[in-house]
Amino acid sequence: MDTLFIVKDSPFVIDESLTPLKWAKEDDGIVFIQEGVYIAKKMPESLWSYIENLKTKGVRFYILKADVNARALREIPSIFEVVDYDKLIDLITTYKRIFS
Amino acid sequence: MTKKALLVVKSSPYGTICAICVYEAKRAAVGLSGEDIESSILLVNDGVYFLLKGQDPSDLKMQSFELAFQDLEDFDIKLFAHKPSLEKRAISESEIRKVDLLTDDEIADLIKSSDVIMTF
Repeated sequence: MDTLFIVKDSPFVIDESLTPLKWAKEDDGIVFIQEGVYIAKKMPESLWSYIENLKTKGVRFYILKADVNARALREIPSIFEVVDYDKLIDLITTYKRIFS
Repeated sequence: MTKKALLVVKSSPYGTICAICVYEAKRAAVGLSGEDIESSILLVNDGVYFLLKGQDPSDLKMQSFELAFQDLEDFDIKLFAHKPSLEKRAISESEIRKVDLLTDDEIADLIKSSDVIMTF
């Protein structure tokens, strides 16, 4: 578990919030929190293929349960692991470095 | 083995508290150099606007960003900018101060080589 990227901005308002997708490599993780969780609601097909490609390389995707529930996002794609705050803290302390 | 820190500035110089972000990044880098930690400052997204030459924010009651970029070499602080962020904003190399431009792949490598990352 190498670098954990934290994405907290809406992909629709700030498209560059997804820049970490370009920098992630195997053994990295990307966690979506705050407005970043809206990525689970709708994402362009091209981005899906990009994410699935990263997943194939071993990049893990997480999404924060509290922020998902707060925004009434009922169906979370299976590519995301839904994590609570305790798990988020575990991730932050387990990964070698954090890019937020 | 000397540790490496990467200090990332992502926000625009104006409109938010991040007007001081580049100063804070430099201050942290200078402090870390005293702890024998090599620091690099990376400007990405709207953070690349800090690099434009000729900015005069005096009417906004803000000080120039010139000081933030002075003396970096004296502390062995490297300054990088995300090339795609500049291109997206139609900023040419002739408009900005001297800086090493990095591609996405090069930034990925820079992240991997850093022991700690701080975002401003």
